[in-house]
Amino acid sequence: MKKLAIDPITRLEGHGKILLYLDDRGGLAGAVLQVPELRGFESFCRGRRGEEMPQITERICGVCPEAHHLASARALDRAYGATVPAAAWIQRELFYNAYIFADHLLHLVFLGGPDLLLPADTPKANRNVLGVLQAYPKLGREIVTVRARAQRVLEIIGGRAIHPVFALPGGVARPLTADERGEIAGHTEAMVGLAKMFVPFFHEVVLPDPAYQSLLALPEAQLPTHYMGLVDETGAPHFCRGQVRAVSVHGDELFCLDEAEALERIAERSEPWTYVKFPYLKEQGWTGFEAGLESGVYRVGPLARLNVALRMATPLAQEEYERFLDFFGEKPVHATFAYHWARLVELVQAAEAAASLAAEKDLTGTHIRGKLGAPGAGVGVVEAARGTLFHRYALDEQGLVTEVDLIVATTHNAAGIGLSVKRMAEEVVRKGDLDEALLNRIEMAFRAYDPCLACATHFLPGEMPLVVEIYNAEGNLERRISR
Amino acid sequence: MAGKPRIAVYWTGGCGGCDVSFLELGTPLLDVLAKIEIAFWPALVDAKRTDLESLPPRSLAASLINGTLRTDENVEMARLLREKSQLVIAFGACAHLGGVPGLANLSSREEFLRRTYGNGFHPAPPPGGRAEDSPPDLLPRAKPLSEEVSVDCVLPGCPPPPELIGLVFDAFLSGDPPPAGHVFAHEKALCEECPRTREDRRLAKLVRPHELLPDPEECLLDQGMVCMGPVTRGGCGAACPKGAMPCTGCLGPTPNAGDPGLAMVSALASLVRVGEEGEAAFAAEDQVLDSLVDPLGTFYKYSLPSYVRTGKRSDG
Repeated sequence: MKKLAIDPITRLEGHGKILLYLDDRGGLAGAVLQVPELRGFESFCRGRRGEEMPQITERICGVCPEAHHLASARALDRAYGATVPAAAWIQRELFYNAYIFADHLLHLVFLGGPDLLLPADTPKANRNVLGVLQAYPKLGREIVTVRARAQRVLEIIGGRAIHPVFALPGGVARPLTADERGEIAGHTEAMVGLAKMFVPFFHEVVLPDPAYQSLLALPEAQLPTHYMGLVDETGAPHFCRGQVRAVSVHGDELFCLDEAEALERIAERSEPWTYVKFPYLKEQGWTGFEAGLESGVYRVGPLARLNVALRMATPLAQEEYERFLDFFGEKPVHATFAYHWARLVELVQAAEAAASLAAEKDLTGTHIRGKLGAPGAGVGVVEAARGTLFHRYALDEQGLVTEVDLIVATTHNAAGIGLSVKRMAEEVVRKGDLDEALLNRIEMAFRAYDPCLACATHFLPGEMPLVVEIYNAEGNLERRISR
Repeated sequence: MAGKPRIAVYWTGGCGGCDVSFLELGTPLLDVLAKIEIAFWPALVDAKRTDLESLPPRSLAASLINGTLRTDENVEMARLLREKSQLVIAFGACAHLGGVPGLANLSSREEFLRRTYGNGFHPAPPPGGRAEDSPPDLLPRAKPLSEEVSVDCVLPGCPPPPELIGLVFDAFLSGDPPPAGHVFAHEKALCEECPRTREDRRLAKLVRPHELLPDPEECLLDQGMVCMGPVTRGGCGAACPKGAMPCTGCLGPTPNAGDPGLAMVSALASLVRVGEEGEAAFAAEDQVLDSLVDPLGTFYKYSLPSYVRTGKRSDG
């Protein structure tokens, strides 16, 4: 058996390697994406001060600290039985939409973008953000500038752009001033401007490209799974509040529940060859690494949110959503490379939502802390850029953490990512000579998800149902342990 | 591309925030990127480990390494980068002092794995793979970079503020590398750059951030919050206190402070004693310091592996 390793996989957040096993005839015998890291937040968060959790858990991920920061604050709101005042909510939501915008932009240009925006035969040394900036200097500079402005919004509200400090149980740290609102409004306007520039660019340059068209239609990149995401009361995707809705492979509603109940619908399993776990829908159960109606494998993130939603929340995003649905002609859309387009639709909604929140009268309100009850337990949920993120804590009477469970976006997607990588590897191995460009094609399969492997491995719920399978050296199942 | 200094940026057991902070340089980033060649940076470019291994020793002008050392593989990569680099820069609080993931040292490796996966979990290769294909083993405890390789200078912070990253590149591209052991942050305490007014008021009671909406102008310590400003290096512009939240010490202790926990206890004790003498002072001190919750997690949030020895002796 011949082994081929892609190590490390690149243009993502966190550590990973892809191991390909080829049989004697050169056929693919196995392909896995292994995550070789573990930091164990679930262990050392116990004993910490509850109000510190938004600032501790955000260290899981430097790309999406905002998501952990607010999911944590939501869990604390619940744990303290607090009602968050309107002014604090608007600060949080505006902050959060700026984050989604900036994070999606990071992926479209710095991480996944080079796969779409540069020709497939681009040499490895240029297949990165520098290559993108060379190929599209004007748009590239505009993107870098506007992304910095979105980050500035995060800094004004969050106190810091990376690892913000503003969210507290029941509210936020401080009121915003009228001057700050003025500055924020200027930045959000620039965000909408960039979104308006990016959409036609996508339709004129990216979408018509035969290389992208073939990826969208590639049979190996169609993965019929269930989908999950947050929706607001009108059925539009909401990034930081609402109900968790899941739809089946056929688009039928599986559930639409508050976060604590939704969390009950998920179980996880672990495999000894990787530090990431694999969640699945309890009702369907774990049937192995396979997609389809009978499988419990589901996906989250931009494509999943568009699949569970009934509409978008803002006008330009709605227009783009309609073009997206017209193109595919059916819903749910199972094309993995549609994640990129879905990300663009969401980027437009985030920009529009941020701009309208910046005009809310209550943004500068001074009533920013809700009354706190006695500390207890609570679940918080948000949509990280990469998908649904749950935090669940229990606090003791001093407000110290006694239990921590989290299921993060990339963990929900772990099985889907593994399947996509394997199918792409099959396609690539069939083509023959495994050169560097073909190996990158395998990496493109995971990049579509914009995975965050640092997030995916740094918490593992202690209380979730769990199955561990232990294999012997020959790869045969030796023992199965369930909890 | 010949002639441009080649650099590597790598993460060990980190969160990637240091890498993103680099990108927060905004448009000056484009100027920096034009002056260097990125030889290895998994977050941004597609060079693989074999590309790095094939480079001659010391052919990289500098490696910026972030993250806590947590696995065998982290240590291997740090040593490989050390061999290939003229300068190794500890990039961020994890590499500098152990960082937030260093709090894991409060429990043993065995407990940590048990809590994470339940009993009976042992890393193993994928079906059909060889032993070497198992995920790397965890080290007995988390370590800062300097415990495994020699570090030439430090860019501290969680993450390092973009302005400090800019200073490193200014120094580096000017052809005038920093002196050995240099820390790219202030020697003076964060209080020196904090706009809040400090009166060293007597500290009668500690309050936690969610218990008080602080006055926007006054010192947070004066208002009873445990702010690490007096013992922490400046260089971030006092971002957290400006945001009405106490400093948590991410830039590391000032050279004067030394151990941040001891220094902070002593700072709090002296504030409690303001205007008190003798027995009354001791009683007040006990009362206030006893009300501190989670002192280890608070004082050593970013530095536990560097200052606090934990677990059995055989662990480390």
